[in-house]
Amino acid sequence: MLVFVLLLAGTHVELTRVRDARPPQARLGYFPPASVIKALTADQYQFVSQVISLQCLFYFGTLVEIRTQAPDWWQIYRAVYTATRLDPYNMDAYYFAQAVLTWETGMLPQTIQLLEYGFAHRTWDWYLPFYISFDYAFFLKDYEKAGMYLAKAAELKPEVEWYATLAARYYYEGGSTALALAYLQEMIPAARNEAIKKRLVIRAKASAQD
Amino acid sequence: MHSILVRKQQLVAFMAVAIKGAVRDRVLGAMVVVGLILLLTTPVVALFSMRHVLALASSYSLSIISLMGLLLTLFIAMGLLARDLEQRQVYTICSLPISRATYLLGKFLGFAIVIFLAVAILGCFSAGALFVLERIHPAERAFAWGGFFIGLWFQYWVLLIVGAITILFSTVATSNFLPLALSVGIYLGSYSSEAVHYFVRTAAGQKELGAAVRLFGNVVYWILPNFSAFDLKAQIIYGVALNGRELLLTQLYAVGYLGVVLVLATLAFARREFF
Repeated sequence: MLVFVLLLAGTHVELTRVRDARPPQARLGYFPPASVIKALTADQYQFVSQVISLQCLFYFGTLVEIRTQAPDWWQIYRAVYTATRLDPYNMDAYYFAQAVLTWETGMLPQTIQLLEYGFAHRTWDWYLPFYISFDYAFFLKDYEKAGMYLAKAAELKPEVEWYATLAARYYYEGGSTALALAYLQEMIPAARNEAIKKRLVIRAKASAQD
Repeated sequence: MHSILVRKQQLVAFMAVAIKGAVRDRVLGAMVVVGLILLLTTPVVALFSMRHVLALASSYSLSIISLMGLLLTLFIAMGLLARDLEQRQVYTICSLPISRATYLLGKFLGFAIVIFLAVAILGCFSAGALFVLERIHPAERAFAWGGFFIGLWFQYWVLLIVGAITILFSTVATSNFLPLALSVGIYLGSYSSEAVHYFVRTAAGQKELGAAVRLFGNVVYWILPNFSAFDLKAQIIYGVALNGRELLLTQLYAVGYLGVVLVLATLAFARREFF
């Protein structure tokens, strides 16, 4: 018995060390297409979708900690895409895509497509049109579309008066730093994950200095 | 009139035997333990959510209930006949003036009650965890409690049908493994059959798939139970409105499908040679 316990403890510690030393790209792993996962997981696919979102979060969190290796953004995007195809209502996946994939990945069109897909399902959710509106205005300078989506967000969330005001401004004005700050001030308090929060705070500081 | 009364008494007796068997196996006690684990782990798992704590919590809870329900269903349904066959009690029963259909249906009713209790126990623990989480992390949309209990009800019907299918295979199989393998295969296939049936009827399906594959997809859809219709998780987790007509049709479909499987099982069991 003692021999087995020693063997178990010894290998477990070493195994943990070896596994921790894996390149971050190997951590996220491979996810088969959503249709295959759906066929193999019966009624568990919503939970699998949530697990994939969490895997992305852990993967991203690890990279933020390490800071030496660039994340494989395509791998993250493919994982988030799979998560949303498994469960189109999975808000965590959309939130993660918006917080992580928009700024420096060069995958803005793909992210907007993801969010639009989400909004087609989560028709009551004002966050998604709000995110899409921001992406169109801030990154793509397409104020007409930005205004359209912000008007939808204002319709779903009439309590936030400045949405409607800003939506009106979009139609005739260009984007501004104030827009980025307003957006980030909305995102940061809602961020529950520290890695994402840190990233957004850095963005907010950079925008304030512009 | 007298014979109906006797048959009813026999049915209740076999039902009680099935329930006692599950109690002897400490199935319900095990479900209470699983329920407690569910209650304790749901808030921990939910904390990982980036935005939607209650969605992750309910998704986790419903997945555990579904998985535990499936394992329990297979475990009990497999043992219903197998144990009597192994212990040769079925030989004694068959020599008595008791119809095999009464024996089988009595056993199935006992199974149905045990599964109901198991789902109810897990559902209560899960509801407790979700209730607390809803107060701590209020969502923008109120949690759909009505949908939650309706979803559990339909989850129960999925388990009843899987159990009946397992019993059907047990009535003809000579090994324990075959009913298990076939039931798991049917369970998995039954969640995909609707999507396959939909795809074979689309223009892309007509173009990409051969006639034989399309026919296979259609046949599988009409033979296997359509469990996708019973899966209300999206509606529960995200508060999407339920369609009353669809629910009613699903319930009637479930009763019809269960009835057909049970009739086939009793016919198969009646023809089985024991001596």
